[in-house]
Amino acid sequence: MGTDRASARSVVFAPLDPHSRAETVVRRLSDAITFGLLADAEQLPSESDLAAQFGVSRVTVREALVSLRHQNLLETRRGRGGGSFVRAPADSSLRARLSELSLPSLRDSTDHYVAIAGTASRLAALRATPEDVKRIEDAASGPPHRVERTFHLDVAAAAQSARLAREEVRFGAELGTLLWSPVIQPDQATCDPRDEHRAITAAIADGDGDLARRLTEEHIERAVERLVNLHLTLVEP
Amino acid sequence: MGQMTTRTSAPAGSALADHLTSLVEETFGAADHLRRQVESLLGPHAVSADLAAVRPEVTATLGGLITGAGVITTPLADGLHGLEWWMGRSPAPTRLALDLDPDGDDFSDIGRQQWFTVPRDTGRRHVTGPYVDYVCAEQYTLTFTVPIVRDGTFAGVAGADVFVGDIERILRPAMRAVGAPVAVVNKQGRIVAGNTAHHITGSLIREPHIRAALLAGVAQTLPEGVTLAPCGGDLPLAVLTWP
Repeated sequence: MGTDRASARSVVFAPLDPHSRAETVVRRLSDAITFGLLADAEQLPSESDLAAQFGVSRVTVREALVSLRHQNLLETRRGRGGGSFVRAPADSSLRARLSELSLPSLRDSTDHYVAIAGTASRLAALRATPEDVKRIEDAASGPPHRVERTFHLDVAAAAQSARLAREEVRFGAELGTLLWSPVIQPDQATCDPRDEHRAITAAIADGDGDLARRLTEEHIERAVERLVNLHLTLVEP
Repeated sequence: MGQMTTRTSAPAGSALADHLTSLVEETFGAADHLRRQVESLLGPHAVSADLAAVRPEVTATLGGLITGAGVITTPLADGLHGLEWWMGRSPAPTRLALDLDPDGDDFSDIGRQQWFTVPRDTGRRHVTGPYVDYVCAEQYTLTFTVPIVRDGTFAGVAGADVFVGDIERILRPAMRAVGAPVAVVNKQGRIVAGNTAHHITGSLIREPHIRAALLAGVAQTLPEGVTLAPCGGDLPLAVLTWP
């Protein structure tokens, strides 16, 4: 699944899932701004257009824009030619973090993480009780990085491994918000990450450790591929 | 829950089950002490900050097997959960900081934690685990919680944490004394401690007839000679001994 700039940009304005609120709008726009998908001084669509595109109320959009203004990521100009304009931060966290990462170190970190999460899934298939499986199935809602964090943490817990769970927490803090950033999630219409979660959970419930591991590895590798592609678009001149 | 109905003449593992029962009852005793302290504090206008008054009692609970202890209430008059949960040992215990804001990135949903939901839903004490406690100490843990009640309704839990590794260490001599393969398990067949590589902590008893016997919780010897000795009272723990 390629993540060129254009398709990444189209995801920025894709409709939101019904659980999301202003916070998701804030995160999506702030990630897009910090990743540079929305350029400095670029004008955002109007409040009503944004509300229509995100599939949320104008009140929600307004709340999100206020928050982005507080973060100095947006500037509002009044009057003729007014509106909300992007203020790209000089040293924005996500973008800076992503472009400072070398591809070899990104590959190394994600290889490590694939090993952790894949093994957690295999062990979970051997050790999970039906109650553990139910816990994994009770998907958290909210932005993707939080859904992913909860899912993989619950899998590591079902593996009965405190160390693997600690590695999950550490990875989530280091790279989780980058890897699962809403702006590089696949188009939900064609590929819902929760379908991938459901397939992994089914393999765990069946006690099929090899399948659970393979599906988990593929799930993460697809996300890594999207992140690497985005990284490459950012470092291009 | 297991009833001590038909314990046969001192089955293998029953001494180990008695030992475990006394450890667990001692831990529940500590949790129950905290419960009484909190219930006496919870007037109709109590706010979350009032719980600080139980802090000395909570930190005094830490030590021995108990690596974490405290209370978590449902939202009080100020709309906030009361939270006094401490980990580690005196003189430098650390206070658990939980993100209880559903919109926070590190939101800990206590509505998904058995140690909270089971006492809430059943009104009874509960043994959670062995489980990976990624909310508190990030350790493999057993958590013992009792419901806090205010005006006849559930108002939170008081409890204590014990690391599974510490339980294993303390039970090791008694397991060796059984002189046969033995495992301490919970009602779901999860192994707390064992004395063979085959029954190692965290693995699951797979045999359906043993799992069914664990759910029934009655002392008995199964057809293949596996003996089940449940812990006393309503505790969801038992000792399995293989011939």
